[in-house]
Formats: sequence, structure tokens, C-alpha cells
Amino acid sequence: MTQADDPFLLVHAYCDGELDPANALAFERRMAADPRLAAERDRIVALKRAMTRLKPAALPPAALRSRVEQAVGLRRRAGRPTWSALAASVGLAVILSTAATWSVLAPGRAGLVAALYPADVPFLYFVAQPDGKHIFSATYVEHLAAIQRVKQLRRAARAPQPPGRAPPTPRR
Amino acid sequence: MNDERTRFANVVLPHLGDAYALARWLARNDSDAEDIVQEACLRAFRGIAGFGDVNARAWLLSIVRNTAFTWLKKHRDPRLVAVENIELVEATGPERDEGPFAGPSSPEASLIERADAARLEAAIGALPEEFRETLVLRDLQGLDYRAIAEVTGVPIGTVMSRLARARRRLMAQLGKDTE
Repeated sequence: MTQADDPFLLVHAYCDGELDPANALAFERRMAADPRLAAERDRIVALKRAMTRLKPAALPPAALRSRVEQAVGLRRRAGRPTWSALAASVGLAVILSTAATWSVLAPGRAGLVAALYPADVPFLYFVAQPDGKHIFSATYVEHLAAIQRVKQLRRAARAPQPPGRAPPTPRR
Repeated sequence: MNDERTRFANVVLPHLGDAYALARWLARNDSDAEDIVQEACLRAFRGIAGFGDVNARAWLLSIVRNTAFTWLKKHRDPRLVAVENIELVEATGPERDEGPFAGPSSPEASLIERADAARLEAAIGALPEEFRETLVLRDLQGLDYRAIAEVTGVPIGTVMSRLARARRRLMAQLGKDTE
């Protein structure tokens, strides 16, 4: 049996308004002649009505919207306080760290000043490169790209490519 | 850069509610749904240049749907019905026993119609993944068959049979009297 003319599939298409007017009319005649088809239509309509009551159940939490906006960088301004909070916690960590770490880190006056008065930059993320420098990013998307870049650099440093071969491309 | 963000705000954000609703139905868990939506939005953002201004909602929903499936596969294998199993279920041909086709309809239809939301939600949740997503896209998101076929990547005939079988299972279950 081909699927296209199975009346018990077509009855769903009929209830969903997927049949063109001519076919819908023809199908109505078919249902009038077949009580089993008519009964199936009634059940489908009943089910669809029952499901309309489920609709308003799911609203996205406001937190999700801001999570998404932050992830793609639509909310950089709102992200600022996070930066100053981060700077404050860095400052706190420096104060709380032991004498040993203190001497290793050897914070100069400039470092303390920087921690107390963060520069007015939009960066929220950073990742260390193999050479000790950092890539700063304002958005999560840029940060992900930076991570890929660092991984690529690290791979390249670990296994030098034979001449003529392209370096491995990052996934994505 | 800013162009992409503006575009994202115009194309994706208006459909965040639908994206979340679909993710919730697929994941059956609110916090998983949020993670899925965030991941899907990142994918949408990266792919926004390739979006052709056709049907933003269907476009986003297909990303959510694909994200949900990879996400669920990664994070919880056991509860996921493997696609191969679904194909097997689908290959067994028409299952007339999934719903009674003969007999008086009106008392049964009214039982179905009066089914309370919690029972209906549980019944939808118990459907195999592919049947559930088809049903949710049609009856809760209001997509037409062509859009569902595009979102789920199957022919319209498969959409029709999945929808029919999803509904038959629900009707059979809800048409029974509660014990």
C-alpha cells in the first residue's frame, strides 16, 4: 500500500489543514461513507483541542535570555560589573595569598593599582598563549575562538609539521 | 561584528520562547533545556551570515533540535532512543493496534478531549524521541508539514507517519478510562 493514499494518514493531513480544497472535499465524502474514518477524525480533533491547553506552559526564564545575550556579546555593558567584581576578587586573592605565592607573584605597585582601578576595557575573558602572552576577549564567542587558536599554537609547538603540510585546522 | 549582533537580535531573539519550549519537550528537564538553548543560540550566532531570511523560526528550531540531539547523546545516553531503533519501529508497517479504529467514537473522543494537562504531558513525554518532536513541532509549535520536514530532515511522508503514530499512541492512552 502506498503511503500517499492511506486514509488513516490522510485523516491527519485533513485535520491539520494540509489538504488543498478539492482533496479536502473529496476526503469529507470519504469520511461520510466510512464511520471508522469519521471516528478517527473525531479523536484527532479531540486530541488537538486537549493539546491547546498545554500551550502557555513554557516561558523562557529571563535569566536564559540574558545568558544568551551575554554569550553572543549583546550585553557587554551589563557585563561591566562582572569585570569590576572580577578585579576586586583578584585584589582579594592577592591580599589573601601566602607569603610564598606573594614572593613568586611579586606584585609591583602597578599590579595593585591595576587591581584596584581596573582599566575601562570591555574584556571579560582571557586565555594564555604558549609564549606567555594572553588573548583577551569581550565575548564568549571570541573567547572560544581564542581557545581554538591557543590549542592550535600548542599543537604546532608540540609536533613540528613536516614541510609542505598544512597545519591542522581547528574544529568548527 | 555589530551587524551580526543586530541581526542575531532581530532573527533569533524573537523566537527564544519557541526555542526554549522545544528544548524542554525534547530534554524533559528545564536546566538541560536552558543549556541546549544557549548552545543552539551560539551556533545560530556563528551561522547567522548563512541564514537566508526565509523562515527564522523554523531555522532556529532546526538548530535547537540538532543541538538537543547531540547534547542529549553526549550527556545522557540511556534515556535516548537511538535513531536506529526508531527506524526499526517505523519499518514495522502500519500498527493498527496502536489505537482502536472501530467502535463508538463520541465517548472516547470526549475522554480524550477532557484529559487533564498533567496526564497529557506525561503521555507526550513517554513518546519515542522522533515521534515526540514531530508532534510538538506540529501541535504545540504550529509548524506545517513542509517546515517540519525541513527542521527534522526527513521526507514529508515520514513526517505524516510519525505524526499519525504519535497521535495514535496518545489517543489510545487518553481514550482509556483512568483506573
